[in-house]
Amino acid sequence: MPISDEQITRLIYRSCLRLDAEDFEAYLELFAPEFEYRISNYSVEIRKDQRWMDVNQDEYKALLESIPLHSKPLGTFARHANVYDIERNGEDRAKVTTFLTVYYTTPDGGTKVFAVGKYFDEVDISGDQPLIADREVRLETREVGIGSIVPM
Amino acid sequence: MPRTAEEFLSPPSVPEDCYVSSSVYTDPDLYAEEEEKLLRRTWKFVCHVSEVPNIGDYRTHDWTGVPLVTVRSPDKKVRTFVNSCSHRGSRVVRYPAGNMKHMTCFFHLWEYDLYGNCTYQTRDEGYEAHGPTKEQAGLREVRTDTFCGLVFMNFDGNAAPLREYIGETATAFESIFGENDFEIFHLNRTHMKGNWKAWFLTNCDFYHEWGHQVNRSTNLTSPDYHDRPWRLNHAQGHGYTARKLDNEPFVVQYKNYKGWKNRDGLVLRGLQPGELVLTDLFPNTSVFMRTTCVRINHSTPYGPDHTVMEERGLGIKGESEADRRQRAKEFTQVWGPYSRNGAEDVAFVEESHRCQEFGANKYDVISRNEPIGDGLQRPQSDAYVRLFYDKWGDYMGRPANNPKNLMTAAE
Ligand code: FES
Ligand SMILES: [Fe+2]
Repeated sequence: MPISDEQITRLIYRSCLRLDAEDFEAYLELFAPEFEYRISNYSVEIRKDQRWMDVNQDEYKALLESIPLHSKPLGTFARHANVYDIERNGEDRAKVTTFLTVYYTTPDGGTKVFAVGKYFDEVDISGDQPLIADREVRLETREVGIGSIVPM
Repeated sequence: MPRTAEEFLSPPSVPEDCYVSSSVYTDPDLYAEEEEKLLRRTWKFVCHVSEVPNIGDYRTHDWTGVPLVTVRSPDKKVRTFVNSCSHRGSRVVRYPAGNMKHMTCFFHLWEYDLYGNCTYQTRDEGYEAHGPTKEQAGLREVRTDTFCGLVFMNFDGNAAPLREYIGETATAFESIFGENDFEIFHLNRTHMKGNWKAWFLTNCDFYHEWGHQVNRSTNLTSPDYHDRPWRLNHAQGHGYTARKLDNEPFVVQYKNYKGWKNRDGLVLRGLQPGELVLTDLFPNTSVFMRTTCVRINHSTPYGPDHTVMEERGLGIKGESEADRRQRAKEFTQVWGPYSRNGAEDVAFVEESHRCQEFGANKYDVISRNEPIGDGLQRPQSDAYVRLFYDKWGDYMGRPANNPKNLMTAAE
């Protein structure tokens, strides 16, 4: 049975929920082997595209595992995603564009918008379950305050 | 033993140059005085030359509340102007960066050329009776100079020239910048609730490496970590750490951080694989070299408790896309908003500020002393921080440990 749009959409939303929960193991199960993950934006100041994170599968896994060793922001991140578009590229691949808003809630309970951007995902739809084969988090927001140890 | 109220309010029992009053981080009057006596009299980092490579390329920025525009003029020289229209004061150039043929004010359309001359006044016959003429209406030019591709400006026409100002500290980066043709590939800005000095001094305080998981695993585990002396430039207030006393490089063990490899490829000319060189230029510019990439860190204060940190990454001009990608990848492992260290550093500054702001912390202790011989100090000594405040005191005419004591200040 071919992978449906609904399955693809659910994959994207699950990636948000699992990252919100910081359940990194379950989050990584949503990715295909050999995936790449990047956070990028266009810098108005230097008039160039730039990458603020650029990791392959092994590097990303190690990064997520090391998070508890870091002084990460004390509050929590919540992601709000809207799948805007799913474009199929043959039988095996789909390009998915998702609008993303990330909120940050301080330990005292105040919430503010941390960043807005889009996920540009390549989804592997060749198997029983769709899997993220490549994710580019393209940020609109370039001023992210204290920054984040946890990816978006 | 916990301290009593009296003990808490008294200066710490260390020598006078080994503590600082927290008011230097929070007091609005001191900040205003800093703008006048220090920030407008020292060289301020503006940008890297690769941000304005072509005629007409510009960058806007602020310093001590003054909007500025730095532009490459047709004679190829980089100039800085106060970015405020001579007519009714609007900001003339309003975008962070770009390329322009001339500067047109969007309010009443006065125009300036790239040398700061006023070249057009809308319906100029209206000025015939009382002026000002175009000749009288140029922009205010601010002294600008370049060293090693780093563009600096200074409001003070009487200050020592830039090269003299950087002094012997150039030893740390002059040859590396001479051998590599650098180009910018990364820029991020962060607004933080904290003082500009606290941010700068976090860069200069290697003791804080204990706060970073990256540094705990890659630096502090190096057997020779403590063998690099601080090289202090007492005349200007700069400092750097580079080679060890035996002139061997200090090598960072990147492989000790999970998922990372040692930096053996793409090594910048003049550095050894894994080598780390850190330079701090008074009052608030740091130039760091981590084997494959350069980081320039600078901040713009907007008051005692509002600092905009700006961080740049440099790679090699004309390198392949794959090399640039690898360099940027290594840069953002340690630096940048999603790096392993970036968020931690901002948190350090903000947490201290939170306690200093309303007087919960009265004094900043800077007493670490770690002699290495020859009168030099090891990296985790506070020797540089003390030098910084010594210089601060010279500019301000007040001691940093008791800056509000008018008697002392008058002497
Ligand atoms: S304020 Fe610039 S033209 Fe009037
Ligand atoms: Fe740090």
